[in-house]
Amino acid sequence: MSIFEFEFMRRAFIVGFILALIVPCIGTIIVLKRLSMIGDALSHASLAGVAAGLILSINPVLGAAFACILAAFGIEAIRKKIPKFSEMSIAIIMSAGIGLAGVLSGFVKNTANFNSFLFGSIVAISDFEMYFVAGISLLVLLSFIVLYRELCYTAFDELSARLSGVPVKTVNSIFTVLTAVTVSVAARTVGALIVSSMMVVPVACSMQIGKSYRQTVLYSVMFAVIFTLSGLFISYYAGLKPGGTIVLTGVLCLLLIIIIKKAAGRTVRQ
Amino acid sequence: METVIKAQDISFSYGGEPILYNIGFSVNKGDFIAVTGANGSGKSTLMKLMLGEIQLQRGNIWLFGTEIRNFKHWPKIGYVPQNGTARAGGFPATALEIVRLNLYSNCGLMRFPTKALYKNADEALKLVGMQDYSKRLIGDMSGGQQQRVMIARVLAGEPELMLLDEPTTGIDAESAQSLYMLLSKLNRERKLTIIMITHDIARAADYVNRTLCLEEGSIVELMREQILTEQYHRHKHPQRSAENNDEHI
Ligand SMILES: Nc1ncnc2c1ncn2[C@@H]1O[C@H](COP(=O)(O)OP(=O)(O)OP(=O)(O)O)[C@@H](O)[C@H]1O
Ligand SMILES: [Mg+2]
Repeated sequence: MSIFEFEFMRRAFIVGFILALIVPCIGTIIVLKRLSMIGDALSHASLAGVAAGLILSINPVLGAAFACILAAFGIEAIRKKIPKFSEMSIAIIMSAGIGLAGVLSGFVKNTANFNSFLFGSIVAISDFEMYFVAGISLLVLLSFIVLYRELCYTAFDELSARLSGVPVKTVNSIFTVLTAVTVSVAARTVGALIVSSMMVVPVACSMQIGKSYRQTVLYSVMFAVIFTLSGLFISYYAGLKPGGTIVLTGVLCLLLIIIIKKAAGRTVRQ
Repeated sequence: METVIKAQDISFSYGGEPILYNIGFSVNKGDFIAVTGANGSGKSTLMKLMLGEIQLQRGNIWLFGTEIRNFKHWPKIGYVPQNGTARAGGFPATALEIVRLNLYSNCGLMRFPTKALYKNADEALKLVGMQDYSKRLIGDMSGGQQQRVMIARVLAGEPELMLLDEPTTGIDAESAQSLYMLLSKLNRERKLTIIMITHDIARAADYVNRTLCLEEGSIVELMREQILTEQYHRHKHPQRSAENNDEHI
């Protein structure tokens, strides 16, 4: 029986493909701002939102999105206070998120539902969630394209961007919201524990071979699409968990690229 | 004569430690100024105050006649930061992409650069002699080449005032010379006002029309003949070495 005869697999491919378009776009800027771990902090905060959502019986995805936005602004606020050690802001919010998620999860009655957020449940997506992901993704993608140059310049150097007339504060706030909603929808599908690798691994691959900023962005999207689709295929036929398989496919590919690059460099030198 | 920057009674301290104390000076249109002073004397701090990057604690600065807290025309000012290349080096963008970033201010409503603006970027790269490297990743260039791209980026925005923080650090003597020549040419031909922090005042003195020196919180203007003695004092520390001589011989 073909993989696409199952409604849930078709959905998984659609949602996976959509996310693979937006997650690396956000990921590129995050990596260039030296905030690679932000995905981790936000996804853990989103778990607290999921737990809160399950307790208050509101949709956990909405709870996650809300918690992510709060956490993202928290990080941005702390980052401004200690600009030279901006990574610390991530660690602070991440521990707060984990702590809160841990405490709140003790009050959640349906733990199976909560666990599905840890490693994601791309093959168990409801209609509402599919449209929610599609809507959010369209918004994120459009914003990324419209703010393409502003985001690039702020990631390059905030002071120079401001001098050149870029409204840096506004751009940063918009980007914070985009990051938060992206993480919260991605956490639902690939899982809170691996969303960060989804943001960073395709970018790491594309930075190995990209010859310009534009190429780096385009290749990272290309890699993410390849990883997601092949990860879903492999997980289906090998009976593995999809979220983890997608990320492992990416890490393996990154290793291959690095080894090939090194080997190629050696032959050139000889 | 048009005043580009006027600073009056500005004081600044990080925490409790005073760095600048009651400093005042003014910069006229067309000036090419070298700012010098020992490490830690507050040169970069002064520049960041002029850019509004850190807040004034006392006194006031006027940029193009407007008080700094009301100043909006930041694209008139181009800034090349100290050690700017350290961060830029890892950025996955080509020289041309980086230079084009600074076309932003001139883009207008459509927010997209026109052909004429793109030509600005190409010309800026040509001015600094980097036109053959426009498609090269900034990370794959030498420190001096990166610095020239940083300068081209600022030039592409067509600023009226250019602030450079130690632009010749890590650049070989010949390239430093050609950078001074380029700045001097822009200063003469485009009436570009330039303030450049440098430790290399003996050589810069041939190109600049004024030299300011920061020392223990105050600013003094050096006359031409003082520049060589200042350079001598800085590197030889004559009083201290006299003491040393007593002890060791
Ligand atoms: N963010 C900061 N917090 C606290 N102190 C600072 C900070 N930045 C600089 N300082 C201190 O302020 C003083 C002036 O620093 P500044 O960078 O302006 O010096 P500078 O004249 O540019 O030196 P250099 O020639 O080394 O570039 C130094 O003593 C420095 O230790
Ligand atoms: Mg300095």
